[in-house]
Amino acid sequence: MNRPSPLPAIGAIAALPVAMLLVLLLTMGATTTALPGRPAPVAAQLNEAAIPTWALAPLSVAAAACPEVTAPLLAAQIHVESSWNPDAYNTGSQATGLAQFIPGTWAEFGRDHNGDGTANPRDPADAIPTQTRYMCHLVDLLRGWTSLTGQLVDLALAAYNAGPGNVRRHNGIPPFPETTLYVRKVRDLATTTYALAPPADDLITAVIAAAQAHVGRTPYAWGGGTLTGPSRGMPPDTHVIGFDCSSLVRHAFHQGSNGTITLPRTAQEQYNATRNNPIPVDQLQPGDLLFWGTGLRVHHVALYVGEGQMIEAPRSGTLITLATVRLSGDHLGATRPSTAATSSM
Amino acid sequence: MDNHWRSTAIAVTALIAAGGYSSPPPAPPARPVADIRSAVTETCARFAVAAVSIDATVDADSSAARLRAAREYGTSGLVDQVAGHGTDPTWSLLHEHRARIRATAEPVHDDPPPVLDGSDQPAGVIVTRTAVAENGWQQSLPSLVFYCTVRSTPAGWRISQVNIADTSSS
Repeated sequence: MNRPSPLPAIGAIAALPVAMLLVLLLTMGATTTALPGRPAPVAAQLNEAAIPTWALAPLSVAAAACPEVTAPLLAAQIHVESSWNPDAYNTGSQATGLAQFIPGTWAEFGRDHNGDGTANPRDPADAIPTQTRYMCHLVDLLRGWTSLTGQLVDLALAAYNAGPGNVRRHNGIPPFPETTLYVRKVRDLATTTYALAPPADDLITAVIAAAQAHVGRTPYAWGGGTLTGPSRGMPPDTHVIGFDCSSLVRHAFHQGSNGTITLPRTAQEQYNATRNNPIPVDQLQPGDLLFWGTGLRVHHVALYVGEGQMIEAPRSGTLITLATVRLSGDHLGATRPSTAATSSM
Repeated sequence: MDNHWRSTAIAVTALIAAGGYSSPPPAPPARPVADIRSAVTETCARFAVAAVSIDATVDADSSAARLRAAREYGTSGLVDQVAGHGTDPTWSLLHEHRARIRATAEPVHDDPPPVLDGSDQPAGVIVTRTAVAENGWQQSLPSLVFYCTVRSTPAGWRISQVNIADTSSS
């Protein structure tokens, strides 16, 4: 865990003219809780077989502290922070214990939760509840910062890694590779290793529902979109919070599979990862991917949803759309990522 | 990847490894669309490769490379944007092996947006990373996608903003 960086002075923000603030809020768009089509948080069930037995009790108790911070999430975070080593210690940052608390944060948030007379970051019975308490604190803190974009739990994880000041400074997850990868790794472990798998029968239905939730509501944003929701794009969509073609498909599979299927980020990579399972047009099934371009330069992807229809993020200035499948132009073909993706990627 | 970009990726890697180029490509006022697209993507690629090229034998932490890259290829605002860092397990790995990161970049082809009228142009590259050490130790690291806003300035094309996405699959 990183040292929380200094926060910008609230007074400076309060001093801005009201009109400017309104413009800022309008152009910066959604809050962390008001984005369209966001699926409700799923309280995944903890895969207890993956947890050291000594951690089960404190983890189960601690996870009741706030609804956003689930037991699988806490377990995944411990995995990434310390690999379940209660005595883990980083000589550089002096981060200590399962949750890698630095001294300053432990001094503020650490408690003697098991009543043995000592608040000890190396004691799992103290460290896990404190980790939970701090994560819930971050969730509450970030919920109040309405200019942030991104999913609340992702933002809290980013704040745990890089400090809440950096999250605020960037109005979302900071552009630090290590923080981007930290959020992704914790999320992955929380939905795979440390959670029980969802029933496979409902997977494709849920994938399509995740995409359908954005049809007619969420805009196209080039370079925008994360595994957990729409995000700010790049020019010409700098002020647009949405998805591009590949991030929409990636988001739909990730959400619909409760995180068990994560496609690569770009259309080219998605094609490369699934091209070993090509599907003729007359055998398309819901959940198949449709590609446009050439094998070496794939430029567009859409999600087939059945009955000759597809959901796509078409281009800048449009909304996510339900459209008739286009086979003209440079349509490249279709692939099926569902089960092949989970085993081969 | 078409041949142009294959050669660009190789060239960028080679130049980075050699400590080569010292200034970003120029930004002439009126150029064919293809030239602009190529120039801004190349600038984004050079920045992205430099930003992840951490060298644990000389760098103080994992943010040093991206600050270096921002100073060389970015606007002054970009230096502020990429300042700061998170906890990075990769840094411990690199430090342990006294290793550096070798990277290559390929363009993102998704829904290529039009070349815009204003000074800001979009570009995206996929960065593939490998940690390498003098003793031959190597380890692949997760790839990243850099989405760049590339601004035309009197000093040439400069990166004014960057979004970073993970791209690994599971």
